[in-house]
Amino acid sequence: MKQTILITAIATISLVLGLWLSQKLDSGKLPTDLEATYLPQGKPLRPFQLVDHNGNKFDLARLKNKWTFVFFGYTNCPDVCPAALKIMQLAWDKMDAKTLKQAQLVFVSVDADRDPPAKLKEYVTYFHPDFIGVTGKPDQLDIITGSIGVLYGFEDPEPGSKEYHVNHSAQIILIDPASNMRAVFSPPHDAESIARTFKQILSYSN
Amino acid sequence: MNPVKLTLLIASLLFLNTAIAAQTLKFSKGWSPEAPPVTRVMAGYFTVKNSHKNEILITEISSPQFDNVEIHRTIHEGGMAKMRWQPHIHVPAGKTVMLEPGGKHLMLMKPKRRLKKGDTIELQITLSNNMTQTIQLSIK
Repeated sequence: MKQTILITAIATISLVLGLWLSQKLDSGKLPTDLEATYLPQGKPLRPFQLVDHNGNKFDLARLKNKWTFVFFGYTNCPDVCPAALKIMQLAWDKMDAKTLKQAQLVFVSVDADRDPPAKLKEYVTYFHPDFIGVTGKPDQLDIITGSIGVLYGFEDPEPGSKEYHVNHSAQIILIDPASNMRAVFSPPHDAESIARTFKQILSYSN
Repeated sequence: MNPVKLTLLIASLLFLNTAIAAQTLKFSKGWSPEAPPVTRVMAGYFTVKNSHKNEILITEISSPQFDNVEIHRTIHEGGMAKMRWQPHIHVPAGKTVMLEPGGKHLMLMKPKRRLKKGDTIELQITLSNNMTQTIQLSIK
């Protein structure tokens, strides 16, 4: 009986202490009303091999030392993708040079068949000359989408048409300079909010 | 039926027909975001108001500047954004319907030439009462 009480007491104290400590560690400078879902522990990305819009290798090394915003989509997407890229263009306009130096934007096309690098280059650089288009083989796309936790899938073309739609997650993902997923911006997106939140995350992390 | 009654009936039918035929929708805020040069599909948005006492459907939309125009709706389902083809745009009596990014939109497919900011897109709209209307979207 005495032993049970002792174990319960120890367990309770550890729990309270653990909760207090974890709160203390996380409370830092990150505001409670942050307009993104922040992952305190981060989520490491698995190694992948993709190709950028200049035909160069795009792997984990390309995420080092930068904060990377990632959006998944395809260039034939009329509504969601151009709207998201336009918002990122506006967010880029709102950031100062020092902040921008630490950031990059990557648009990953999950529709590699219709989005070869040359086409991706024209597409993403239309929104901003510094934006990077990336695509790759299905197994590699599955690695990056799988480790981030976003989804995509192809719809059957409508009868008599060769055109097909691609369903895809519409979150903007933020990856830290150690290639850990750090934050998720859910739609509907707002340029002002993204720029502000990014700055808050930067000052918390630096 | 005597001739007077028949005349009255024809007259009232003609009147009714004219009354229905005059029912059109009021379009505003028509726009389309300029798209990257490689894009073969553009989006179109507008606000449409039905100030009549009966519902009106937009059953068909076409444009001389595009191969094809379809009505779609973006939905968020199972963690993904998906596009759903819509057979028509339903504008209930006395209501306003908005097409906007992330919701109901037009899919303007295969532009015949590249359209840029400042250009205008012309749309021919057919309604469920067989009326047709021409509206314009400005590219922004």
